Amino acid sequence: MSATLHPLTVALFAAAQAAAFLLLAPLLRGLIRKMKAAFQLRQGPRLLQPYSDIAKLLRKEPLRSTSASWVFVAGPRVYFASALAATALVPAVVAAAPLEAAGGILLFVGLLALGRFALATAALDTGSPFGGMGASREMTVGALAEPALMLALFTAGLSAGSLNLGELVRRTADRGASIHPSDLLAAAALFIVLLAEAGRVPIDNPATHLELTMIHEAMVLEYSGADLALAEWGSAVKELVFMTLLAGLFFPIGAATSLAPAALAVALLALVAKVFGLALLVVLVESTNAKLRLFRVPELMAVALGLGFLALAMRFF
Amino acid sequence: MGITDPGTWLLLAGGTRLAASVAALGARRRPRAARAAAFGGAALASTLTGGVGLLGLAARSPLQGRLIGHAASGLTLGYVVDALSGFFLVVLALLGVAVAIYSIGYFAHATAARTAFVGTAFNAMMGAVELVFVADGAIGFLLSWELMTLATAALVATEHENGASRRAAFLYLALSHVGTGALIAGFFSLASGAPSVDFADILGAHAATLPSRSAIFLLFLGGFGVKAGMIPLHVWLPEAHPAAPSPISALMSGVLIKTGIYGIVRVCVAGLGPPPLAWGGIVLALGAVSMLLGVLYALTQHDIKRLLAYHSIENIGIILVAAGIAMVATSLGHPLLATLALAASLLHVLNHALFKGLLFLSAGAVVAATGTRNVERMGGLARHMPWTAGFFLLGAMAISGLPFLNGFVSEWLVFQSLLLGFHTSSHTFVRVAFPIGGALLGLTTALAAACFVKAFGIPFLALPRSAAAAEAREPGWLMLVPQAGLALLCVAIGLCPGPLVARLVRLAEGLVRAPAGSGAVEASVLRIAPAAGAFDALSLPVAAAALAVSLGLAALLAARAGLARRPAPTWACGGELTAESEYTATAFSKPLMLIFGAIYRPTREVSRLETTPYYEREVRYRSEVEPTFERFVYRPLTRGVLALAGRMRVIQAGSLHAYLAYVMALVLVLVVVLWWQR
Repeated sequence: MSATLHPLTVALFAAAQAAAFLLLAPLLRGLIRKMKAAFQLRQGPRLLQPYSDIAKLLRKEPLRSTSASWVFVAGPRVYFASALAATALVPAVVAAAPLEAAGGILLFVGLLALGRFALATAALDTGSPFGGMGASREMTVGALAEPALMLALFTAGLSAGSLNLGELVRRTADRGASIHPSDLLAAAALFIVLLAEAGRVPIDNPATHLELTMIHEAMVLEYSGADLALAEWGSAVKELVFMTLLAGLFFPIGAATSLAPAALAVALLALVAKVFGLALLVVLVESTNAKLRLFRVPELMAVALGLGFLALAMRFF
Repeated sequence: MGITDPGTWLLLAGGTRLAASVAALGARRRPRAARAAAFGGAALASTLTGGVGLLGLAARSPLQGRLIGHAASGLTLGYVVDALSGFFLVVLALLGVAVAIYSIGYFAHATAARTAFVGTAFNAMMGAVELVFVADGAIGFLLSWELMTLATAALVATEHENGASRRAAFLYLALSHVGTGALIAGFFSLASGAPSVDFADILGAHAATLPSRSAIFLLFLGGFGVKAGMIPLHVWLPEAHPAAPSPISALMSGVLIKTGIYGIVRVCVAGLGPPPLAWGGIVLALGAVSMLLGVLYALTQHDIKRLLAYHSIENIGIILVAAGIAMVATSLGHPLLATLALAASLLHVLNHALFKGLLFLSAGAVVAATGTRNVERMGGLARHMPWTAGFFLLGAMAISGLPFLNGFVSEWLVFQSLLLGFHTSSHTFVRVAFPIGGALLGLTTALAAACFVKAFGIPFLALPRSAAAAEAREPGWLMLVPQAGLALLCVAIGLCPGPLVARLVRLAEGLVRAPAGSGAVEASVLRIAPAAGAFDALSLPVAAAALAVSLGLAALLAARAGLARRPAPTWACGGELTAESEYTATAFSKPLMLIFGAIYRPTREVSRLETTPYYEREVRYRSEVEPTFERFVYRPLTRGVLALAGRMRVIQAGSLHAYLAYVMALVLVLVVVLWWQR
């Protein structure tokens, strides 16, 4: 699709989609927080609180540890940028990704890995044991989630016959609303990976105040001001991208295959509904589960991997 | 022999190496001259052979001729430089030049005698590897193979006053000779019924007719597998790499173990006729085991050079996985897939040589500056060694398979061949093995990233963990420029792999006998796409541009004018932050060590000294990973061989009369046998 478009159009499309992800990601954070509070019969912070937080942090002076080097500064920037660049590879409203010619599933996974590598390395830079602990755990969980992530994405890719996310969504959409049982299993596997990648309960707890149980929060413990804003914003974008991807791959109802205003409006509504549904699911999981001990996480990841294999087996045997 | 004859160039390179060695040995009293002669000559010779390699890559048909001919005995030593030899020569030259220049700086503090010794052995080893790549027959190949083994053993034993180095060299020699024995047996079996022992006569059509070719395949796989460091034949590798001086480790990891891969591709993949499915399956399985166990063992290492050595095993595993896919695809009749996988395998050979060479050179600079190989005693090096830190970081990102560096491209291609294989073939083996391979490759890559967060973060970041680390200084430009060159190549291939991939695809087409111009990978400057882009495509410059724009936006968002960046000490819970309170490498890999405890079978020992009810003054902690292969494979094997040797000693009476009697008996037996057959 984008092969026939003018490069300027592609660039504009990519910029618009990235801007939309950037602007809406904090809203998703706020929404999940608000719904979680409602579950606990609390009022919770305002829906738009994450925007205020980021705006405030961006205005504050960043404290830089005296024992840190340039790596500490680069970490959140690369993390933020890699999440933002990954938005251009994922089809959202239209059944095409702006930069789908640049690469498919593997580049998407690679970009997220780049961000994780940068932030984990930077976390070791301050000399704080919490940073090291967070980095170690983040890389451990990331490594354990990787096979399940790959297998679930491969199942989707192989059943559509393409590893390009845009092409994949289009072929899945062509197939119509019929859902193969293997899709459900693969979606479940990918959902578990989503919980791990977004640092959600039962793997990590974004709301924890106890350093010893932190993963993501421990990595960014020493960050402040604009540096912290970038790390937080980046992880919000990553979460939204992941949810969009999950929605696009396994629930391909409503994605616009033309640029007609009616189709676009339907697609936008469908996407919002799907992401809202996934957010609700995350809230349900977060509200009804306790955080797992770190050494129980491998079992959960093994479940995800098993689901991936089952999905593949159901699809192709 | 004219100037355009590659044989002249090869002889010239050999002559340069000889002259450089003689000059270095002659200049024993003048260390500076010895260094310049030995390593300058080595760099020059590598440039020449690199040129021959490029000629081989460019030529339409193999370049061949005679290096040495002895009319009276009829003994000749010939050479063939085809595209495969040419490619490996180029890989060798790229790393060889960098390592040679680095060595001029690295051995600056060594005695002249040691420099002369290392320089001579270095040139001998490089020359031997070059001869291995250009050998046209079994005899030349085995001779240069043996010379390469001996020269490498000498280099491993450079610091022979150190018991561990001697042991490592001995282990290397012992295992290598078992491997060479397998190769000799393999070549002899191949040569039966052939008019000569030239590769042209014994490989290909002739080998395909032999009934015992599966046994021959196993002999070659074992023989070459020892050199490549394939699990379970790898035990010499993690001992020998750290024992050798760092530039030599770079060369061993980058090129020496690739001679095993060269042999496997030349003989097992392309030389023994169409491979049955089982061969590919064996290579694939051994590769998968090597890559996963390699990275898992690497995670537990705190000796930076041992850690890198185990990563060599991991990467050899990835190369073998791709080669195995190529063999499976050939046997199932998918030449396009075989081409793609073999091109991925060869690209990873080059990539691994570049980033592992870079990592060993940077690690060498660090070890030289701090005087230790233990990462727990480094820390904070980025402050005083910013260039080395930057280069090591680039190498770490490349080996972790992160985008925009070369490791990503080859691993991307391996994933493509796994998935495309699953997509095109419905054979049960492919349907079962390939997804498992994909999941394992994903796990391996992610574990490598975890390992290199540690391997970069612990030595280079935060506070120095020892006085030596605090005083470490950047090495001279002779040691930095080669690192810069290798880093640049890693980035260049990572951003624009198209032309290189296109060339490797043509090379692979020839090896798996796919039709030329098959379009297995459509590659241009901007983009690479297997199977003409229908399946997946990668345009790294476009993605890099997107990342660059995003980085610019991040910098813009965070950079508000007039905002001071206040330095402040790290919060240490009210105490003072010291190196002791930093997270250690042991702690970093602890979770993974516990999770994969079934493989590691770790033993730990904690002793608490001077305990009062409230406070422990000193805790000693020791943890070890069980060396599974050493204990359960090699120790019984060694014991068995020694016991057998003990039995055999009975016939070694030490008396001349007994030996004469043996000779007599042998002659009698031979006479009887010959008479019988008449």
